[in-house]
Amino acid sequence: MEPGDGLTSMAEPGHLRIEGVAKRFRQAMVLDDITLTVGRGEFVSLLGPSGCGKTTLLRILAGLLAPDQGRVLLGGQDLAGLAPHRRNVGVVFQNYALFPHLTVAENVAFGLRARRRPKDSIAPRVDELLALVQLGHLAGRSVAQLSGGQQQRVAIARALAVSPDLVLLDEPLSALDRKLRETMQVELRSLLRQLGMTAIFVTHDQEEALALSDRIAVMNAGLIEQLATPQVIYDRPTTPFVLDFVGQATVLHGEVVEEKSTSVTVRTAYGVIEAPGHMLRGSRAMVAIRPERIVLGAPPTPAWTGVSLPIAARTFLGSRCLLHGAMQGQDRATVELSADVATTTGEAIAIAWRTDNALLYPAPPA
Amino acid sequence: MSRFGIFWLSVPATLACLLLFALPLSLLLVESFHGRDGWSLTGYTSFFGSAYAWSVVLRTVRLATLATAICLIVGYPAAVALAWARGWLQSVLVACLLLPLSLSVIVKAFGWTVLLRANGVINLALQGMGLTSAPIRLLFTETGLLIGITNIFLPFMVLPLFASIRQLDPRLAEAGATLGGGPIYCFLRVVLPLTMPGIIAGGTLVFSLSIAAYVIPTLLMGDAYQTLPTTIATAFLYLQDPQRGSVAGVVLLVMSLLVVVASVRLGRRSEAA
Repeated sequence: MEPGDGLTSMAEPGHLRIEGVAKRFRQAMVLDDITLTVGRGEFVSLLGPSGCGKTTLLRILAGLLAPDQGRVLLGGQDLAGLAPHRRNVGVVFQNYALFPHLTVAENVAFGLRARRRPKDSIAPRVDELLALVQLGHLAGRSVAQLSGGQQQRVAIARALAVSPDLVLLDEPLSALDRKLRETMQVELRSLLRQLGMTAIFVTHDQEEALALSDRIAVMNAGLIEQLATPQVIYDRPTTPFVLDFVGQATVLHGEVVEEKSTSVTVRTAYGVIEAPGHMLRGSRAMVAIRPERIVLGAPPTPAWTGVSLPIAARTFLGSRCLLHGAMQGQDRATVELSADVATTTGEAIAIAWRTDNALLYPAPPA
Repeated sequence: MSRFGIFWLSVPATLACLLLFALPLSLLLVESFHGRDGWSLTGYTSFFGSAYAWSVVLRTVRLATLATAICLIVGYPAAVALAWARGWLQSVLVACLLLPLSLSVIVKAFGWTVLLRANGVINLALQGMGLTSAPIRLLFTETGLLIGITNIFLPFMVLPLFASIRQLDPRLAEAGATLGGGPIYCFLRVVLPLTMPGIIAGGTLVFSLSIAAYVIPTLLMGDAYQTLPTTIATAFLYLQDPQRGSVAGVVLLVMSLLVVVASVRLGRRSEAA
């Protein structure tokens, strides 16, 4: 569902609009003019390295911090000056922040009691939520007796029990081991979809963001660098930062030696290649290719281009393997191949890719 | 380390406790059953048969309860401030809390007599601000005594509270707020129950110190106002009646033990919950 496509209305509950939000701490700019619209039922990830402002934005949405500039609208209502307990925004905290003195059921009931829901409606609602996260049998347990994954489920049930218009998830899976994290990703996604819940998910884990999101906002230094679907973020990163942060790539720097109608010719340290797009002749360019777009050998047709480069190491991944180039300067190479392709490290190999699968950027200043 | 090794580490402290506390207290206990005419229970029967003794016990308990309650009410916000302060502010606050502990109780109690007397700093200030026309009586009143006791024992409330509040994850209160709990609701349902160990520890310390206080009531109230500790001193020093003093001592000891037992049980329960 795309924002502003007419299917979602601003006044609809769960429709979130962030307009020009900025926040400073002392002199440091933590958020610099963030604008983002999230449709009802949409799952949007804020992806970025630590310090990029994603958690600050989350705290502003929850009402735990006030923005210096800009405003936040939820279901058409301006949230400015509204304390956290007066917003209908659920939060799943990093490390869960479960109440250690309460049982599982009491944790889930906390929001219902705080909102003075009718007494006889609380127990059925708690049962319903615990059933939803498959923890019905642990209702009477102390939360300290639960495993990490179970605590995670309690935190989700607690946040969802009050039927929030928006749920914020702050790296909720980062404390779990890899296998459990993957299971929980699937569960969390289908649970939120089933409930039609609008969700903002903060993470620094690009795989998690790619797996879960309807759209990803890649954040860097207080700004959204790119806002798009996971497929577009991966295939068409608009900036070198997004390219670098999401997935791996072979990156070659060079000088534009010829301008053509839809492509340019770039001379790199490993050969002359074609790259799609326009840049002035003589300028420094950066060409990037995703590892799985690359094949071994010379370019088979004129629509392909390629270089020859030395291989330093091979990483075995099971069905696939990665070759790492022995490169100089800012150049780097990662090639993904089927694991049964025999290669020897130390020697130069020819690699090729379809020209229109490559990405062209002005080279960032060294 | 083996259990046996741990046992040996505790030997010096155990010996010191036995010699310095258990032995004199046993002697006190023996003395309380030893009247002028040999072994008897007359000490206890006359103590518990005396309306005056009961009023002293009740007064002591009331004084300690009030002091504990005031220390808790004054100390809790102070402990929160201490726990939330950062950098130099926290150092200054900790120093303010700990420095008075290095002063002798006698010095502090004398200090309060200077502050509380009719021409003392407090009365001069009140009159200077035009709040009172004549000096109000503070010294030798229970109000003055409570002011002195709570001031002197306040650090013993704040320190355990501070330790307990500092351990509290600030995100728990935030979680409560995002779930729809207002500040008061979150304080009562999240912060207060989770800092209960600090409240119990601080309360036990201040209560025990208050029922056993001797110097402060003596200096701020004089002889006319008797608490259990002052009756013990009076019995031994002026009345030369060691049995009477010992009985009062045993009563005080039993009260202290009850407080400690109650605090341990309360602490267990709040931990288990």
